[in-house]
Amino acid sequence: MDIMDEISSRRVRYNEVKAQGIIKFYEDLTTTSYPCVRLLNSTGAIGCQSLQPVTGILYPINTSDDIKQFIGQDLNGKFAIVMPYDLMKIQNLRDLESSHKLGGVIVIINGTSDFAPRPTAFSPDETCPNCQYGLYRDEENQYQWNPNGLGLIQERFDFPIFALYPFDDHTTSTYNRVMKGAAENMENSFKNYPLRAVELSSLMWSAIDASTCLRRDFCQPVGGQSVYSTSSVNISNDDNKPIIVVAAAMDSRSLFHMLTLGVDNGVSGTIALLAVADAISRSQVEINRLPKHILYTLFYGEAWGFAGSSRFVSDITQFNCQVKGSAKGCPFKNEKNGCGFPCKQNLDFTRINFTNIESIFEFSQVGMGTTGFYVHVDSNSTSNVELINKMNNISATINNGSAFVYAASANGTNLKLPPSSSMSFLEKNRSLTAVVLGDFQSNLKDEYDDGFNVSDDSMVDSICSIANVTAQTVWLQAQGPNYSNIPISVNLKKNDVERIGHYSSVFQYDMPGWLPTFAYNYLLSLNSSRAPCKASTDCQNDERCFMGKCTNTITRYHDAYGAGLQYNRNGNAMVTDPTKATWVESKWGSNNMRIFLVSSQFNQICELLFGCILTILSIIGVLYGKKQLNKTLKIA
Amino acid sequence: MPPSPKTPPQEILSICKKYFIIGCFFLPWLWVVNVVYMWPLIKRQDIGAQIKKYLYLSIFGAILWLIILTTWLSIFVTNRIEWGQFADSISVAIPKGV
Repeated sequence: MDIMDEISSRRVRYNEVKAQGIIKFYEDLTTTSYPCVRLLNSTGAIGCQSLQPVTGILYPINTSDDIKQFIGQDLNGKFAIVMPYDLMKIQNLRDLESSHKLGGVIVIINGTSDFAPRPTAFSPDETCPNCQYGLYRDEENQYQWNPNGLGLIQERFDFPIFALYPFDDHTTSTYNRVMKGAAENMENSFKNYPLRAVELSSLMWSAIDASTCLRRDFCQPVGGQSVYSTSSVNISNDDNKPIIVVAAAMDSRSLFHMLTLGVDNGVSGTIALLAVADAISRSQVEINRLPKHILYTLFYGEAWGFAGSSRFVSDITQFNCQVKGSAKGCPFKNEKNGCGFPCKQNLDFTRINFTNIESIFEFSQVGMGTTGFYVHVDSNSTSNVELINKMNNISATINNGSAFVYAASANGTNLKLPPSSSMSFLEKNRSLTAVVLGDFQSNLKDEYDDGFNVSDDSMVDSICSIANVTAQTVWLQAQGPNYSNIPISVNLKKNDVERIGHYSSVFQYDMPGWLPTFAYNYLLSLNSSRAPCKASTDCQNDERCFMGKCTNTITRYHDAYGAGLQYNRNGNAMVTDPTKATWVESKWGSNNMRIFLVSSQFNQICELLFGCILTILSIIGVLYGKKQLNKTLKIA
Repeated sequence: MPPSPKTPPQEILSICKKYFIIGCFFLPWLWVVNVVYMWPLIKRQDIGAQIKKYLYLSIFGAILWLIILTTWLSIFVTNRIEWGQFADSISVAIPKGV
């Protein structure tokens, strides 16, 4: 489900419940909690599942000693463990599970008081994210870029996990309710009933693996829409003009999809790319008169096996339209520009000739480069080294003589590329010039993938400085050899870097998430100094009418879902290559969390027995009464 | 509740027979109904013996069905995942989450 839809529907439900003003036995906290859900690929499942709703008595755990104590304690029934985010480690969860007292887990992402402050360094991802899909997947002893990764994201949990993240009135009230319940239970030693319990239900429809799940129509491919854009409106497959690609990944991942923030990982690169595009668009020289094309690509679904970049590369290298016009299973009418099967709204990407790609500049995480940036390359080829030196020199020019962009291999070891979109390009042509820019030299920053970081000024400065160097280098590269005057620079406002949630969600035709929508609109509107218009028909060629002006760029969405998945002629996704990325998200009916007072087991049994006895007595009574009536009234 | 004693015996016998024959068309529940409905009549002097014959046949048929269905169900449930697509295609409703 799309994140924004989910959040807004949750809000509506919350308000409805509130408006009714019903005081109920169960209090629904669903709208203000965040479930861990199930994802699958061709080999199995990850994430959470609970086939039955689970009821657990709230039990607070603050330290790992508390976990040991809980396991050793003699308690009856099932418990819902309330614990801070930094205790979320695989071993802890497995220990709790094997105690047979675990119903579910409620994780506090950050507490409102001293309890459970947000962990400053916490990476639930793998030690080498996406490396099984990367360029070096067949190499032994791959370098582990994220050594502190906990591997939580790749784990399968067969019990429900919900997150609480108090950030506004509603979520804080839920948080307080749960914390208060847990504290009350503690006072009652978890034995003096009634106790506060929660019911957690998150029945995921999926089972087994991606192909089973897609066949049953219980899953959707993880992905969305990448965005690509160029000011070269006349770009064509056979113009022999070199192409400079500026790339970044938009999305990131987390155990709780709706709380995927990862400012440094996804957003910093996206913002840097948009800043570069903006700066270059304001160049005095007309961009489409440059001897080279500049192509901006923002890839989606990258956190899930490089879905966006690998699909983009495979489409620009080997797309073959089998059914022109409209076709079954394809929602586009495709009057002039699209393809019915494989379903594409437009075929403008075929105008990009892969063999013309000359170099790739990619932003990895660039939000924390206050001490400098590192340029990562696959090999120290002449062209790569040349590019590194160029960026080093330009950074020195900008920063009063002291350079702040270095080769990542400056310390003597070339660790090659960190997990990046460039790998999808190098997969097709290993000798391409590709530089990956990051604020890290050998280890991804701990905030990687799951930073709940709020942006600050240093992040803006960081993004701004690397965008500046890149913009100037790209511009220089695009000029050809003899050009020294660099008339552009990057300006960023702090407002551009806001806290954004960006799990990629699921792929649907023509349904871009809001982050791609933002990037699309931003890139589309660059250079729009043309004639005013009311509709796209007022504009020339394939230009579009945007905010009353004809755009002067080719900006398009591009499908992004795992390279191992394909849609068939009926419009159903299926696994075609299990060795590539095949991530799909399970569908579900509802993820519910509700809190209530539970009485002791003895009480419950007494109530049940009382009910049974009452039923039996009334049956006897009726039978006896009937008999008596028959006797007195003498009915045959 | 068996048929009223006022019903002519031949009619009762005919109903019992019809129930049995219709049950042959994959309707084992009808046999069960037949047995429950007619059982009090097997002691009748006139048609009891004939009713008994049909009821025993019905019981036998119903048990046979029970054995066939439970065997099939257990085979299907244990092999459903292994059979993959085939199992899904013969399922009326696919259970969620398993």
